Amino acid sequence: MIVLPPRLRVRYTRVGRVRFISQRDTARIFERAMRRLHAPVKYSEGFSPHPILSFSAALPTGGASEAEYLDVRFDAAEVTDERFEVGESSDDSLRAFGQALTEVLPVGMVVTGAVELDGSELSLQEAVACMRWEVDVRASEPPAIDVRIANLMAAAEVVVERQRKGRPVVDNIRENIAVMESDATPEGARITVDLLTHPRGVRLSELLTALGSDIELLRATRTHQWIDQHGERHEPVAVGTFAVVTPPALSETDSALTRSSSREREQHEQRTD
Amino acid sequence: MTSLWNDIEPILWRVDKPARYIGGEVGSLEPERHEGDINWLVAYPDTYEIGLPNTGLTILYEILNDRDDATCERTYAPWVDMEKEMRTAGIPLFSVDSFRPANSFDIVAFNLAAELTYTNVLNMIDLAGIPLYAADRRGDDTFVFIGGHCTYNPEPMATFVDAAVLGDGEEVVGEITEVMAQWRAEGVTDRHEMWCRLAQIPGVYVPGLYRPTFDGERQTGIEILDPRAPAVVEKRTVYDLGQWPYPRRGLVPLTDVVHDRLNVEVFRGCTRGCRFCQAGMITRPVRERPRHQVVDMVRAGMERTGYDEVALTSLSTADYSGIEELVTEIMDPAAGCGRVNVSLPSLRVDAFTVGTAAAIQQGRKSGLTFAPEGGTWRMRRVINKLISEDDLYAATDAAFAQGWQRVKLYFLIGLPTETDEDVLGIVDLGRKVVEVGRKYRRSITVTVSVGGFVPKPQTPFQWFGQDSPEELQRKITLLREASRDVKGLSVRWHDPSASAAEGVSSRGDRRMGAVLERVWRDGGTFQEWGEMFRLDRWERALEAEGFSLASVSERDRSRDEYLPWTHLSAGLHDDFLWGEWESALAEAGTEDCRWTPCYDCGACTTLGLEHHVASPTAPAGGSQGTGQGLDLRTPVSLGVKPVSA
Repeated sequence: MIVLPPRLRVRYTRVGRVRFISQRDTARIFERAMRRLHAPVKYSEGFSPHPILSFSAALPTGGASEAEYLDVRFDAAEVTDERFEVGESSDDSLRAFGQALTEVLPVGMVVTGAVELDGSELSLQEAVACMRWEVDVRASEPPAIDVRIANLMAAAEVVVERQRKGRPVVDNIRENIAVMESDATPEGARITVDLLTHPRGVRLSELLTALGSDIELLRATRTHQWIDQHGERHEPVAVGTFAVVTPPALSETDSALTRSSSREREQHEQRTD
Repeated sequence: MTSLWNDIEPILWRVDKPARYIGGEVGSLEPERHEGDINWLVAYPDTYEIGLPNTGLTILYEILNDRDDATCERTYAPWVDMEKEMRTAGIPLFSVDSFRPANSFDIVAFNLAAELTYTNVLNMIDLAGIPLYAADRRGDDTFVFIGGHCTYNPEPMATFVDAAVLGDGEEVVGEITEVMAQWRAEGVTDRHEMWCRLAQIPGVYVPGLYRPTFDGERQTGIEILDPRAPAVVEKRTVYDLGQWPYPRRGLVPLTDVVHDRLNVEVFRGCTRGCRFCQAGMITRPVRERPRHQVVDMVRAGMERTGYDEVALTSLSTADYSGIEELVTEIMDPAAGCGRVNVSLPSLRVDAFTVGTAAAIQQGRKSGLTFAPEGGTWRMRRVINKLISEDDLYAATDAAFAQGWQRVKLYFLIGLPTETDEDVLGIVDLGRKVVEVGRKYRRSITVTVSVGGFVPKPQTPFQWFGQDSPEELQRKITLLREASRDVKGLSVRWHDPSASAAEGVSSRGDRRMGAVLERVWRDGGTFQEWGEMFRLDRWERALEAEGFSLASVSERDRSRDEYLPWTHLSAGLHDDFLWGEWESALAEAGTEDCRWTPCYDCGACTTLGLEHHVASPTAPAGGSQGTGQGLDLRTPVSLGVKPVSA
């Protein structure tokens, strides 16, 4: 028996050949995986109900990731399989659910963690403030990649051209680049870059174009996404963490306080993992 | 041979929709090869998203992989950008299962479902590094097979293929595997010997053992080059679908494809007898899947795939005996099929069918499609699509009443004996259907979709010369002008020049192979895709080979002309086809023989079979039921129905 909480945040990977699917494909695969599992996912209301799944910022087609996130809601009214129940969950139930979900996902998509949400959290799209990419590239012309990175980081402005509402606009993305470094590899270089997502995110392709039109992208992996909390960054779910929200131990009037403290405790546990 | 994945991976960043090339679907396999296995590569000569849902290939993939002596993998036509990257990097055509090169397989088997994909077959053979002409292949070279509906005239493809398989593939693929395994065990490498052994398998046509003779634009006969080749090759027919509950492990793609849902085939064959319809002629008799098996396949399929929709597929699903009971059973929670939407991809034109569709359509009711095919009752008698106007109005009335707001009507133009009055009848019907809809809502729309008729082999219209692209264009212009002032009615049409090229491959003889090769070498791949198609390529290629559209697709054949597919049989008597042609000219209908006495088309008697139906009850409803309403003779005016202001 797996007892699922009403709200769950799932961390998963998308590595190997499955990384060539699109974000839309990813969403559809989760919908079908949940149905194959008979997971009691809550459906939206309205004319054509669909399962309520919300994802973190879209992963570009071809990009791998060690740190993708998905929020899912469960509903006791949707239980059709006696293996599942919706209610007071446990760490073991979440771990079992993670394993069961991995079994119905394509090779390369693995659930690596899951934590219960209490409903007060920001959505993933709002909450994720920063992400790290590791990008293998090759440049066909000089200067070397590390020189280009130094120049870019020293610049006051890094402008990219974009389309917004059908019109061309020019944006400065320098403020989005928190850290960017590179190491030489036999093929060229591996760039590690931390990109800030607010107020407007940066596409990997835009960043590479800013480094030069001769840059060839070989591989890219999103290794982290972080939530900003009290000036510190935390992973929404750390690898290997399967944790429920600890029920309030104090009186009801203190429940808000308790919830936030239990969240902090949970995050502390993630950090020490 | 090992996987090419490490070479393929780096180029996938640079191509559109890379998920087309990665396999990994639910239900897919990476078969291990064992000594002595016959390794098949099944191929669809169009993009992944068109080819993946193909039920025929999915069934063969499964049947072959279930055998101890065979493996089977899949491939699809790489899109233009991918082909360019592959040729630059020296990557050959590969399987999407284990990424092995195509020429490491014993057999590449193409499904030919549309004539305009033929040039893609040539391109894929070339991309595989397999010699283009069957005659140039040696003992160990990969064999190229074709199957599917187009193989009832494989002559335009004859020089490129080792063998064509006619009819259902379930049984014959096993026989081919065993024959090949046997000669491999004996160490046979003589290609001619291999061909002769293949030719003795019923349903297998080996074009290299036959030489057609010609006189000018006509074929005059066919010479058999080895006594082991049969004089006539008969199609294969799987009689009891109940014994073939496939696919059991249908593929669920990781990315967008057409018909992305569970597809369960409820029957094969159709005896409505529409005279233009090749599928309805070559797949006789009707063979229905037992109802309990359909329900089992839906239940197991939904469970395994995670789909939320099932399509019950066939040539005319509403004709399945007991369709209402079947659908009711699937929708019943007790059946255990879960939260499922059922769709009937081919609707019959009657209110009963629409009622069934409404009962099963949950949520959005966007559009409903009907296919009257002919614009006047006269035209519909010629083609034996005996839908009365009354039925059409009742069906569309039911559709609008049930809340559908868009109705689409399919028609053919360029049919035999067609007059401008018949063409304009299309707009007339469309306008009246708009009026029917406006009783319910002002905002309803009716779309009339018009295709140019291409006569197909093994049909009563196989002798008929098709309209030139100019004539089709003139008729389209007539339709556009007549419909201009009709609010709520829009007319769409299929490119008439594509119909012309389709006709070249449809009824052409073996000499069309050289034309196809020229079109391909000129860059003419993906000819089903409007942005890739240009008629001038075809006209130049025809001219270079001494032909023209006039001499190939637009030419009427006489009854005594030797047709290029005369030695290939779908079981139909020549007398039956010619009789139907004469009935067409006489505007006389022919009944559906499922529930009326046999008129001996040949399919059952030649094959020693009869129709295999799941229920003895004929379908209900109007002229589309038993007997097809042949007593109807006069068009029914709209006046009988009240039209509110």
